Amino acid sequence: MTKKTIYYSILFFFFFACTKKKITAPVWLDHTGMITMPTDTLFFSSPVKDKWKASLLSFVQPVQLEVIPGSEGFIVYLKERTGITEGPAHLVLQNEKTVFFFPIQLRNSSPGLITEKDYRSPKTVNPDSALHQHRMLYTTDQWRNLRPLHKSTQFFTENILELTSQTGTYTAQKNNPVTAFYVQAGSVQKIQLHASYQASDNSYTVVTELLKDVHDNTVANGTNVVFSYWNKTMVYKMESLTIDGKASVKIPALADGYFITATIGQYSSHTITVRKPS
Amino acid sequence: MLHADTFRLWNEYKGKKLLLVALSLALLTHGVIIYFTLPKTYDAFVHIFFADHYARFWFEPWEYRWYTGFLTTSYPPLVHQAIALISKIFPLKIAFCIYAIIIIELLIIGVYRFSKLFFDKQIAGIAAILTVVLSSVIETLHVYGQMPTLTGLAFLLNALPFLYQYIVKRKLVYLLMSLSFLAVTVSSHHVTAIFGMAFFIAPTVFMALADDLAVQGKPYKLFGWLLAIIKTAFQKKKELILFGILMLILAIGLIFPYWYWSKTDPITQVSIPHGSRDNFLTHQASGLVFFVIPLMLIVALLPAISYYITVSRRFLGWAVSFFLCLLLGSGGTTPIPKMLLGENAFNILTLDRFGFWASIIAIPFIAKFLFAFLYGSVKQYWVSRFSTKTHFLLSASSGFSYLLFILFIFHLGSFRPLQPKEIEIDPMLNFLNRDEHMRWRYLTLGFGDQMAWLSANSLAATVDGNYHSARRLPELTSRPVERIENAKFSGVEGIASLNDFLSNAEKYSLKYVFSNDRYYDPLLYYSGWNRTIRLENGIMVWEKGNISTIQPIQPKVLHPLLKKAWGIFPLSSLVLAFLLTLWYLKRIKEKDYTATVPESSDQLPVTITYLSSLLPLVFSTSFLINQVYELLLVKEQDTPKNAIVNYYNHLDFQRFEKAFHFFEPSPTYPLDQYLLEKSVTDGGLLPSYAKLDSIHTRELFRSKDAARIQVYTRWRTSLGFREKKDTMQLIRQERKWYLLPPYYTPEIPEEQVRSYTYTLFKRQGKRVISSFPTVKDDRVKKPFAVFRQVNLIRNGNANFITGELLNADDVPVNLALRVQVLFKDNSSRTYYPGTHFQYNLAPKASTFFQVDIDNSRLLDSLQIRSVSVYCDTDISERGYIHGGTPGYSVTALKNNRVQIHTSLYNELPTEINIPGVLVAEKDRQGTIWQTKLLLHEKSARSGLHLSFTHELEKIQQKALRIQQIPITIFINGQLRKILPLQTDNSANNSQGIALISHCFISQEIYLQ
Repeated sequence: MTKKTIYYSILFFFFFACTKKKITAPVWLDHTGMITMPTDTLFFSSPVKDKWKASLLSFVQPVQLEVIPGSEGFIVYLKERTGITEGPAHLVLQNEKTVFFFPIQLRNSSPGLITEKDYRSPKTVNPDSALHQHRMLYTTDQWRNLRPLHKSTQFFTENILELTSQTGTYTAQKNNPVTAFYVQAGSVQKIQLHASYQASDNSYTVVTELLKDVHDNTVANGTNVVFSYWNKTMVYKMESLTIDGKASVKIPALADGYFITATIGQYSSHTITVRKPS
Repeated sequence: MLHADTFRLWNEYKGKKLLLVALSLALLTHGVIIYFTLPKTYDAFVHIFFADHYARFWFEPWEYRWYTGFLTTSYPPLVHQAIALISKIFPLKIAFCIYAIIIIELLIIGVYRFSKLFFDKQIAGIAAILTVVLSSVIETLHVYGQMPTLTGLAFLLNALPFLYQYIVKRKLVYLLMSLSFLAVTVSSHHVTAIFGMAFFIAPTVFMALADDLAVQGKPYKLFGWLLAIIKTAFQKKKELILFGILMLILAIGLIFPYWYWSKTDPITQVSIPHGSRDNFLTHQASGLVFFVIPLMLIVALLPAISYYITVSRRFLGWAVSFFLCLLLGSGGTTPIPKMLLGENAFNILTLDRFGFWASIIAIPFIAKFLFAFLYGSVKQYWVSRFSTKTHFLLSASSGFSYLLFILFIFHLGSFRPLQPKEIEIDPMLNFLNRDEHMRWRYLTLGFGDQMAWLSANSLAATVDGNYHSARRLPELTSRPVERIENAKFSGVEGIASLNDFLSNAEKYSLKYVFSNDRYYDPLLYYSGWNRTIRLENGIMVWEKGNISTIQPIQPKVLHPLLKKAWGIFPLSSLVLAFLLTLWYLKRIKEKDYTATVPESSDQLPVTITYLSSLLPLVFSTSFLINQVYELLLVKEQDTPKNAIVNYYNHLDFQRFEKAFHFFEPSPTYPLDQYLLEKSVTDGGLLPSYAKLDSIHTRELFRSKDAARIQVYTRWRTSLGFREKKDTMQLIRQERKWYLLPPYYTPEIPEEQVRSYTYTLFKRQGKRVISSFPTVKDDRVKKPFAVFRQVNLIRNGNANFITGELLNADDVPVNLALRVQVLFKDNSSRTYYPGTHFQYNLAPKASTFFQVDIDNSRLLDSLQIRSVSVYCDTDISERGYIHGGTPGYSVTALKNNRVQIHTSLYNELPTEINIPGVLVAEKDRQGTIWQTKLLLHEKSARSGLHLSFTHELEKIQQKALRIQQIPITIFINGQLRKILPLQTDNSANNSQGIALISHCFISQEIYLQ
């Protein structure tokens, strides 16, 4: 009888020793529902002081937090985290298989480095169409949170700009090459040709005058100019690309003369005639 | 008694010794050489690719890297899974070699044990050694790289003795052992599972029944004997039925996903030609690879094999299998294989495997003959009839000539290159890994089977593949084409299939082509592809602009349970077979398969003795002499016709020095002069980008020492066939015919130094160093383009969209054009331009285009509702210099035909390799009715002129311009208007023909 009692007692003891205590939710001392980076340290009261893990589940990313046992429970703080993307989040506390969620708001105590963004669209404008550009301004802090614009309560502004018709590369923000936008040369308005015979190599040299668009911009380098020249028997097409607004070709003088015209896109020059001197 | 036992013991010991010799020999030969022959085999890389799949995704059978995705359940997985496991420790190639060595050793053991069913252990030992040097085994391993075939066979041969003992002794342990080995066979190779088992298992069962009957000791005539066999079979029906049912369960259950795939997604493609189905008498190259090499020894020893296999009734089943396999292995040489297999099976199967199985069945009988020849009755005959010396000479020369034959097979790749040279893949891997290039598909050209090796080492996807049974892309299945990457070897259909992919690249997100063969350069260029970069290994990367990234594809879904089974069962069968073997060897193994080895004499009739002793020597020696003759001694210049044909042959294979020796030897015409003249006059579509398809000669004049021959050559190019006619003069000197060098007057430019100013553009690309996909500020704008006209034209049964596009921007532009036709039933079809288009335009340049759509019958039945033409632009850095100054005149001919005489002047400082013009037929208002690309075969050197003439049939008198169907146009996704039509005065002055230059320049101007 005594032996049985001892055996049952031992069994009873082991049974209760092996059953796990249920972990109750820790109490967040001085809970405000907001966590401010980087200075906040969070105090929790709990009968279980160890084996806690903590993390912040923001809408951008999870952030692991450090937990150390305290006198009344445990303390949670961030390791060297100076700023975060602000907004709603969850503080997650886990002890073995038990998990607790605390909804919170994340804030930064300081915005850090403020960056102004100046977006332009389109980046390339052509005088053949409109010279208008859409501009949008906004500001972000170091952790890409939107900030009100300087001396304003608004978070962004937009307006339509009228750009200069002069070709060139311009920047929306100084010293920021990525914000560059471009005014291209438009289509050529007038194509003037000059042609002459070169006896030295028995060829005709055909040159365009300076090719400009309606705003007096020189056409872009590399513009394709098709020189068509013909006589009674054959039609020829020779291509040349402009450099500094001019294009030229050297036509072998296989015939005594040719009619010549130059075409750029939709525009053609007048027809000129070139002949070998008799 | 004691003497007989002693002899038997010695016999067994010798048998095992010979087996050990065979195993060691295999290790020393195959084990050493496999790593070097592996890259040159046909199939090794394919199996390595599958192994790589399992190494990465063991339980996921969907493989996305080939053909836009396919299921790996289309091939029994065990071989690939085993290599994948080994590759966890060793690199893939080494893993393959290790696996190959293990399998070849198992095969030798299998042959040994298989041969013991027929004869004694000594002969089985000889059979094992024979396996090491058997040409069919060497070819299967070192030329084909067919590991699953060898694996399936190795385990099948090891299973047969167990099956035999099960039938004879009726012990379940043998059933268990045979099924465990057959399970591995089933898991390794489907064709061996379906066909091989019939050719091997049925004769084994038959032999077991015959031996069982023989034990009873009753004499029978043949018919009565056959009846008695059937009776014995009935007596053993329980064993046979049990085996059959269990075998069926294993065959279905182990690789059930494979059968499920075969049933639900059957192969419905056009039959792909294969050399094993050729008539070997007319296709001698196929005959060499698929008959002579694997079966020469078998055919030489056919008299002895036939005698031994038919002299004993117990071998009757094997005789049927052997001759049937030999017949089927003869391919299309006779109509019988097609009649036996049926047209469908004949056109799907490759028949070389049947010849291979015939050679395996023949091994015991060859070993028997070898024993008789080296030690037995045949030796005694030769020694008694002639002398020991004669026999020694005969056996030494037979053996030596056969060894030379084997060496030839090992080096077959050197004499007849079966694959391109080995390509270093690291530069391609680096290219694919950077700049998100993997978001598009790529294609390889001219890689041979090495494309599988590239796939195995990369996660990038290609639109091509090397496992034809699994592909379902209509561009591949509708044509008898093996792979796109060797399209030129598949003739017209191959190039057509390649053209489909290159033109419709957007459909498959195909953006990059790795080209190792400049044969395809013209097709790539004229289909709108641009050279991007030449990698360090010499491979040129071609790129097409405006291609969308790969869109997610829903993979074919397999039940999770089937996926698990696929990953577990096959390998488990191998593990189980291994464990059972260990247990069997320790506990069960008996000395003999039967109580006694059936007696069989090695005596042969005299005729067969002579034939079988001499034929191997005759065959081997004749073969080697033939090869030497072809390489060294063939008279290439014995007749004018032969001289011309061989001359063109050398030219075709770029053997210029050899081609030069066909010219009359003369101090004024040295090799230098020949090569110089060749560099001046050659170049162009022919022969730089062509392969000789056929050549015919016609004698115009012939005397004893002189001849004039007209030569008609037909060349295959990636842009179609080209024909050429030349006249050549020959003279005869010292019994050889020589060509007289052609005389021509070269055009000599006046300038000694030429200059030309290019304007090159460089797109900066991503300026912000960030792996983030897009930075809005850093996006490059879409260039402006405008349609000058778009027309829907119907010319009889042909329908097309013609028009003209202008680059309205200040930068060079790459254009992606497509036409979408919407039908009344709301279905739509998309069409892309082929070669009638300039895909890259300089700033302010324009191009004609023509997009062919479907035939009139189809369009009328579907009823067109509207047509949308989309043009997407992107800044281009390449391809906008089209080269050449064309001058043209047009002469009207009869029947609406015109003759266009083009004179092209090359103003550039580089050669124009393929002079071409894009021609448009315009009416008086300027409407384009058709567009054609006209090319010239010869190149135009810098500063020089060349002329060519083409005829064109004008269609505006008979064609119809359909104006009632609305055509909407979009530029970069935005609805746009067409510019007002302008008349073209130069076209109006030239019979309505307008023309722009569209030349291919091989020199990589843009890559400088």
